[in-house]
Amino acid sequence: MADKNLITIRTQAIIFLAFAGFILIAGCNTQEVETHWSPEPIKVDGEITEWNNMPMNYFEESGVGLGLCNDTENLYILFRFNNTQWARAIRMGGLTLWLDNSGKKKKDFGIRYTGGPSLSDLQKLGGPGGGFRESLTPEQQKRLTEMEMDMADQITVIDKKANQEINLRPDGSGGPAVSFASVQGIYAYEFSIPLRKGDVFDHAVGANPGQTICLGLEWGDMGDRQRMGQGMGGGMRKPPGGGGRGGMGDGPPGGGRGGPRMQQPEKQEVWLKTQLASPPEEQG
Amino acid sequence: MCRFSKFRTRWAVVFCSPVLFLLLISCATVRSSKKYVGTVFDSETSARIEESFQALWETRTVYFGQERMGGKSLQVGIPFMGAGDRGKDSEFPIQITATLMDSLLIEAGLKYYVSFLEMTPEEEAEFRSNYYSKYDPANNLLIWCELQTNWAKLHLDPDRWTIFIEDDAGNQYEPVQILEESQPIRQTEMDIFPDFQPKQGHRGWESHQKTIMLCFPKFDFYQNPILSDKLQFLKLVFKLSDDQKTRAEGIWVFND
Repeated sequence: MADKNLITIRTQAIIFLAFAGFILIAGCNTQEVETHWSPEPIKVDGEITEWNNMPMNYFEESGVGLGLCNDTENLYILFRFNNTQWARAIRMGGLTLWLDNSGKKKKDFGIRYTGGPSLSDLQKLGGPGGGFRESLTPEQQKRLTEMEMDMADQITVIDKKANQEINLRPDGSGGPAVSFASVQGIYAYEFSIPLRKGDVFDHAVGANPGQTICLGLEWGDMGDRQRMGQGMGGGMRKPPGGGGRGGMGDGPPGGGRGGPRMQQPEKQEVWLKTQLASPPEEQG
Repeated sequence: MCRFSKFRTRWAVVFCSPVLFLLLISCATVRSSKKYVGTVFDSETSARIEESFQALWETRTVYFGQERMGGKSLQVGIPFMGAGDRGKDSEFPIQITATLMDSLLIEAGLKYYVSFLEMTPEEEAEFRSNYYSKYDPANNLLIWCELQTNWAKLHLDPDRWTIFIEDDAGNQYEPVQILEESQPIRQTEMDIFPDFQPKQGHRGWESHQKTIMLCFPKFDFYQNPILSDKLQFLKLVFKLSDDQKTRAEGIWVFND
C-alpha cells in the first residue's frame, strides 16, 4: 500500500515538474522567424515602402510587428507598434537590439537606439502638460523647439565582452544605422546592422548569410539614470554622439532624489531565432 | 493510512500552491487605476521640489473613462496612485487623463522649464508671472485634463459635460473656469496587424483629442483649503446625466 502511494506521489511529482517546466519554457521561449533575402540594399530612412513586399511577423501578445531581411552586407530590421507609452519609453530609455551569432540568448553585443518622436509630439500624445509651455514667451518657445531638435537621435553599441559602450551617430557612418518614423499612429524603427566587421567600423553581427542568429528586442525600461529622477528629456541633453567612448556619459541636470517612482511601461522583451537568408543563387 | 492521507494532503498543498501562484501571476492584470497621494501636498516643501517633474506628473495623473487605446493598466505598488471608475463597459465616450496640479507639481514644472531653457532671472520672473496670471494657482485648484475619444469629436466639448470635484465629505465644487488649451486634434490610427490594417490611402479609425485646464476654487465657503491635510480622497467626475453609464470618475487617494 505504502509503495503504491509512493509511486502515486512520484507520478504527481513528475507531473508537477513537467507542468512547472512547461510554464518556464513557455515564458522564456524564443520564436523562430524567417529572414528574407533583400535583392537591393534597404535605405534606413524610416520609410517603410521598401518593406511593402516583405512578409512581416506579428506578435499579437506583445503588440509589435517585425520585419527581417538581409543582403550580403547587412541585416535589416523593421520594428513597429502603435503604443505611445512605448514610444516615449524608447525616446527616454532606448530600444535595445541584442544580437547573438551563436544562436543563443546572450546579451553580449547589442545596439541601443535612443530616439523617436520629438518631446513636443509626445506632449501632444499625453506627456506632461500643465500649461507650462503655453506660459513661455514666444522667444522661449522657439528656443525650446530648437533645443529639442538639437537632441538628435543616438545609438549606443554595447559590447559587454569588451566592457564598452560606444555612442554613434545613427546615420550609419559608424556601421549600424537606425531611423525612426511615425505614420498614422504607428511608430516604426528601422535598423541596418553590418553582418561583418569593416575597415572603418568593428560593430557588426559577426555572421554570414545562411547562419542562424538569435535576436532580442528590449524596451520599456527607462534605465537607472532616467529612473533616478529627471523627467522629460533630462538624460538626453548630451549633444549627439560622435564616437565618444566609454560609459553613458553625464547624468541628468538637477537630478532627482528618488521620491515617488515614475509610472512607466513594463519592460518588454521579444526574442527571435532566425536563419539569415542566403543569396538566391546559393539557395538553388 | 491516516499518515498517507496527511502526506497526500500535504503534497496536494505543495503541488497546488506553486501552480496557483503561477496562475495568479499570469492573470494579475490590474483593472483599477487607483492612485494614493502622499500627505505632503499643497504646501511649499523646497526639499522635494528637485524631484523629477515627470515623476511627479505621473504620480498625480489618473486615467479614467473610455478604455485606453494601446496603453497599459496602471500598476499597483507606487506610493501615489489614483482610482478610476472607467465608466460602464466601453459605453463612456471619452478617455480622460487628469493631472492634479498641486503646488509641488507646479513648482517642479516651473523649475524644470527654467532649468531646461537655462533662463536668466528676468526670463524666469516673466515665465512665472505668465503662468500665475493665466492660471492663478494661488486661488484656483488646477486639474489638467487631456480628453480623447474615438467617437464623434463633439464629445470633447466641455460644455457637454457636468464636471465637478467631490471631497471625502461629499462636498461638490464646479469649476470656476475651464481653459481650453488646444483645439481637437484628429488622429488617424491604424492597427499594425494585417487583418485590420487599412490599405494604403484608406482611413483607419479616427481619434480626437483636446486639452483643457479645469480651474476649481481652492478654498471652500469657509475659506478652508479644499486640499487639506485631512482630506482622504478627491474625485473628479464627468457626467452627462444621472445614468451611471454616462458617468466616470477619477479618484486621488491621499494617505501616509
